[in-house]
Amino acid sequence: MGLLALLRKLKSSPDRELRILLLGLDNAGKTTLLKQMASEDISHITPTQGFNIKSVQSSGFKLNVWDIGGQRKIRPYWRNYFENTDVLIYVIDSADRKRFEETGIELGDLLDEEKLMGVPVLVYANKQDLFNAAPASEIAEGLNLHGIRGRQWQIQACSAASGEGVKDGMEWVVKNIPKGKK
Amino acid sequence: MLLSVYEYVYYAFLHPMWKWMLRRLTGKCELLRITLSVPRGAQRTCNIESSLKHSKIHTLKGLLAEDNVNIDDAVANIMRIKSVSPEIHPQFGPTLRMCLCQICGYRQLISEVESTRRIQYCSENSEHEALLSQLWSKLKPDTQLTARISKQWTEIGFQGDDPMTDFRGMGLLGLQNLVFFATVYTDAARQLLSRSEHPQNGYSFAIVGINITGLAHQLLNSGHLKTHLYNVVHGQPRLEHFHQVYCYLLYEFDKFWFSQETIDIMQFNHVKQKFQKRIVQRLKDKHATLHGALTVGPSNNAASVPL
Repeated sequence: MGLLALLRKLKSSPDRELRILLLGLDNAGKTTLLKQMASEDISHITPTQGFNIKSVQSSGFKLNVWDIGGQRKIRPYWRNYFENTDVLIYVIDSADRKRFEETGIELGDLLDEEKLMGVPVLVYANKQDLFNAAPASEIAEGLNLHGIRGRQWQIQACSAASGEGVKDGMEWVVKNIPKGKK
Repeated sequence: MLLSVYEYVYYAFLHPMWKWMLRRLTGKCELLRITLSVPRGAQRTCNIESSLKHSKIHTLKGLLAEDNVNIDDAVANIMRIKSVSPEIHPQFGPTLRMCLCQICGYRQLISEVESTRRIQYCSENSEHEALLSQLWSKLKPDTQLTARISKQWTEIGFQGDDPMTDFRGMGLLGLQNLVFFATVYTDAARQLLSRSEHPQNGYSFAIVGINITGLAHQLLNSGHLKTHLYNVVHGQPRLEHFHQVYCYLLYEFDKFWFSQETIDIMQFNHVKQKFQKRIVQRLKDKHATLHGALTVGPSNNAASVPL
């Protein structure tokens, strides 16, 4: 490590740390999103067995992002990661219309979880770069996001592959951190 | 950083001086000294490679960067530049030739593997589709696949009803690796599949397989596989050798996985990293080869080389 980098590191720590949970069905693009947030190469991604975790700096916050595999077989493990979550990010493949119902059910279950009560939720309508992607507004309506009560929520159109919209979502995240954390 | 300064000073000043002195003393160039003193294997090829890399002669250095090197011309060239007489040192030409085949072949293998990886699985490509159904029939010979899009795929460890979306960044390479394993080592593949179905400690066979493709690809690109390939392949390493390494890694990973205490699928990345460290550590020994129980068949009780 160079001296400058070392100094910078000393100066910028101790950051306020946040725990972000990244969930969604398999092939929604969670790991690509995670890598995009961390400005890493996204061309060698493999399906997530278990989970990935990365720390990402954003607006003076250290975001510890937990990306949990979305395969049906490992969804029962999601609950092991609910505790102390500051913000939930839910990722949807906007082009996979066949699975909108399935993803809606999973999101509904998450919002009913006691341990996630009041936790702000950001829904990424991912894969907007695909020609058959549903627009964010259509997804919000289909998932009845407007019916969400008792928490902040936001839907953000994005393409994890190109990076478009990812930053806007992250800005929303740091603006909507639960009180007491700021 | 200190290390790279040292390396720079060493190769810029100390090493050339040392080489010059040895050359005066022995009357032999560095390449010739290597072929005479180091026995066949990864150590020798790596030494030759390093000598070429640090050579001040452009044509020698260039051998490590050019595509489609004509090996015979290169050998003749080197013998002329270094004035090595084939009458006095008859072994030099053939030895150098083999080393160059390995060195240039490794680089070609990287680009071949890379271009296979870049091919996305396409359900309109009949060859891709044929490979996929071959994978199914090798792993599940007694069960008919009811439809191309089917929940049955999860039985061999894909995530959902269409494996297409699971190959991702590994592309066709991931599928080829799996098919090679299931075809060449069918018994071992079925054995792994059935072990992977363990209700508490199991894993998703195909998904883990694709992640191991990622590992093999990484080891190849980082140059770690040179040790194994230079020791085992006495010529140009080919795609098939990469598939063999893959089979070894997947087979050994499974053993490593079940040797861990109290494990569940959420610890996959942690265990994979541990496994990767061990493999890398092992490949640092220039005599190492990645051969284990798999090469003699899993039913044979011959002890495998411990990791």
